[in-house]
Amino acid sequence: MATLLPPPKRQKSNYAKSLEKPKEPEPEIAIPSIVVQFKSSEDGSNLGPAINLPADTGRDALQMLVNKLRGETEDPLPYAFHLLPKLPSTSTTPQSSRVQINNSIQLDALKVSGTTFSPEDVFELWCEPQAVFRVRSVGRCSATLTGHSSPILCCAHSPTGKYAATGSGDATARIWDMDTETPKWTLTGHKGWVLCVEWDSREKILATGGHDGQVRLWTPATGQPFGQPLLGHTKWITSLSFEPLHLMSSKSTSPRLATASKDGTVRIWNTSTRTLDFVLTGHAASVNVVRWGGENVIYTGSSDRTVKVWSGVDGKLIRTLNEHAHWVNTMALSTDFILRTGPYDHTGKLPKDDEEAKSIALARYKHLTSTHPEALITGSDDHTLFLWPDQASSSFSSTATPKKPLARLTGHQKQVNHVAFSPDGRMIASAGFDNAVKIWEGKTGKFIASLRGHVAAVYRVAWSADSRMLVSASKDTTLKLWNLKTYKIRIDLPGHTDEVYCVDFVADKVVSGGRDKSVKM
Amino acid sequence: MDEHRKRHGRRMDYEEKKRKRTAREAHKASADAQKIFGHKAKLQHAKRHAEKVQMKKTLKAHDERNVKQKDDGAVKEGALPTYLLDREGQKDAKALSTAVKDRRKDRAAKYSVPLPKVRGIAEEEMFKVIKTGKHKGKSWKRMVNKATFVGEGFTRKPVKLERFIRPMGLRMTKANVTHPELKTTFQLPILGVKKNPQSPLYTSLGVLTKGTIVEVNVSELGMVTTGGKVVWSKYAQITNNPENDGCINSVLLV
Repeated sequence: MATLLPPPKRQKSNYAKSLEKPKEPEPEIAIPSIVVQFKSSEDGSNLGPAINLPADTGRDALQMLVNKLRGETEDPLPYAFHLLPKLPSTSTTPQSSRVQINNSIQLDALKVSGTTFSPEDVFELWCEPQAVFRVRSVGRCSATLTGHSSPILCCAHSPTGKYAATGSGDATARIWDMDTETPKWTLTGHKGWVLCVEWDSREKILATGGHDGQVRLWTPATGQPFGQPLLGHTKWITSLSFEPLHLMSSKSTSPRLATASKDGTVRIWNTSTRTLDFVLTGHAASVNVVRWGGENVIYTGSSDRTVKVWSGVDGKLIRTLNEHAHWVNTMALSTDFILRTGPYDHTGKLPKDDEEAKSIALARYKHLTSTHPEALITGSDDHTLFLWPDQASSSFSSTATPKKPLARLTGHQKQVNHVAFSPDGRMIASAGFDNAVKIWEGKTGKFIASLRGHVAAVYRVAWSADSRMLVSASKDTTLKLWNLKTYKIRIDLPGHTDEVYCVDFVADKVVSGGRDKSVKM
Repeated sequence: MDEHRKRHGRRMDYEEKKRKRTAREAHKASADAQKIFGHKAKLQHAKRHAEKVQMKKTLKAHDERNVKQKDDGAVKEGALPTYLLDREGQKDAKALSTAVKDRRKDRAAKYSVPLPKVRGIAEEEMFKVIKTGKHKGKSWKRMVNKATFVGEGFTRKPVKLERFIRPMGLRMTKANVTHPELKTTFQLPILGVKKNPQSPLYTSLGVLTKGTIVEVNVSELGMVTTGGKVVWSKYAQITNNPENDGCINSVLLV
């Protein structure tokens, strides 16, 4: 006999349902009361005495408490909290070294199994002030701008955020207006691919370096070249860096420019007279990256596995840092963002003249370096990064010798392609060919988290101005926006049809360009 | 001539005469060109024309050399950002390895047969040792245990000197050949053994085991080449063990 399906179950009528006893509410777990000690993450000092709190105090309430303790009730600063778990001695799996408190200690620390917290410890809550302004989250591609006839190799946003410049393999650079999302100028003149593009901090000059070894200067306001090209390098330009605004002497009208090239030299040019000031020779192989630091010190990283520190005044070699085992690919300074944006900050105020611009830039720089001295991080093909202490001569009193690195950041399984400090200098993001973006602590170099999600090599990484968001561009044609509270993907930004070579984060817009010859905003 | 030159050297005025002769050549050539007639003239004029064309080309090339032309500015293809510039080696290596693998596959595919691998056969299984001599002490003769093909017009070597004995009972002349696409089987005479995968010795002996490639006479099938000629022999691979079955089953290699 064939098996028959059982007849469908009879649904209970409403009357029958009402006869059931109402479900008892879940037994209330008594919320323990815990002792919390607020600690400032800048210097480790205690912000006030230890306080007895119920464990389900929300994040806003904690924030209010910290502000009250610091006496800043007039302009309260937003804070991010995290706990450092005591690792059991037999732990073999490397965990992220901090537990972020997003909702309340009850939900994030006590209830989560696998952590070693109990309501009887004194919780040391580390507080990090965050930027007062919030950058709006990027959601969708608002414009796709074509015009380049060749893959786009580099992009940079102007210090105010009004323009973006892109350089491409068709030997032109284009300036795009970010507000109207339209092209503004096309800068032709290079004879080879335009490999790097940099704005000066007053938005008066744009410098482009090409595969032909020439450096050309342009005025972004008119789109015209600013004099003859700067010749002198024998091979292609790998990197450009402008002198910070606050270091400019009062005599010169425009900042000096440092250009690094594959021929192993770095040339410092005076942009107003377009002459060569001096040449930094000494590297035995291609200089991959150059940065002009805020203490008038020039850092160069090269394929001969060394990083050299030079004086910006006369070009003398100060120091050589010899720790890497393979090419030094990329370099970042904790003051990068401040130096690049100069006098422009989130308030949108425009300085009246050069003098005021210089003083604002100096004030911003001093404000950042008062708590963290300028630190340098270098990433290399040997899968590691090195965090170096302040190299300027004024810090010789510190106990650590400037020649020894503060930390060696290991963890990448393939070459490290790009590294970037967050604008507040607190975190470091590194992108590698092993499809991962890793976040490290900015001061000590300790590993925080690994952001996985890309399926091919990650090429570039960019921070938002408030250090809350991170965008990464990869060979798998996508850009990913990361949520730094949960260390997972916040938004995927697909749309490019080919590898994305460069990305930059402006106010609330992300500019990206890649091999598919289109610029997306 | 060379010997004379070696022994006696040249005339005293040899260089002078040579120089003058070469100087005169242009004039002589032009005088000749104007005076000769007949088919000699035709040959001379053709030769001269070719020379003139060549000369004009070289002159033009020299002219271009002196003129400084603006470069087209041909920008190379394949633009890469700075961090990828020196890494082209990596991409190339991958491309090279895949290219090598593809080429290997292609080469293998040319000789792809239905049975790429066959079981190895030990010598004891293949040969039976025959003891000869008055007291059966010598054991240098071997008798083949497997089916063999000997071909028409086969005559045994002098029996005393024969090392391998191929018994008449195990000699086969026809094979059942299956056409893989038509799925039909024909009985076709064997023309020869092309290759025995076990060893070249077996190939020369004509031993037929599983996996042997044999040449069969396919004129019966009536296949024709694109040129219109009749195909009368093709290769086939043996798919059974003929010594067990008593017949040869094979697949035609089209």
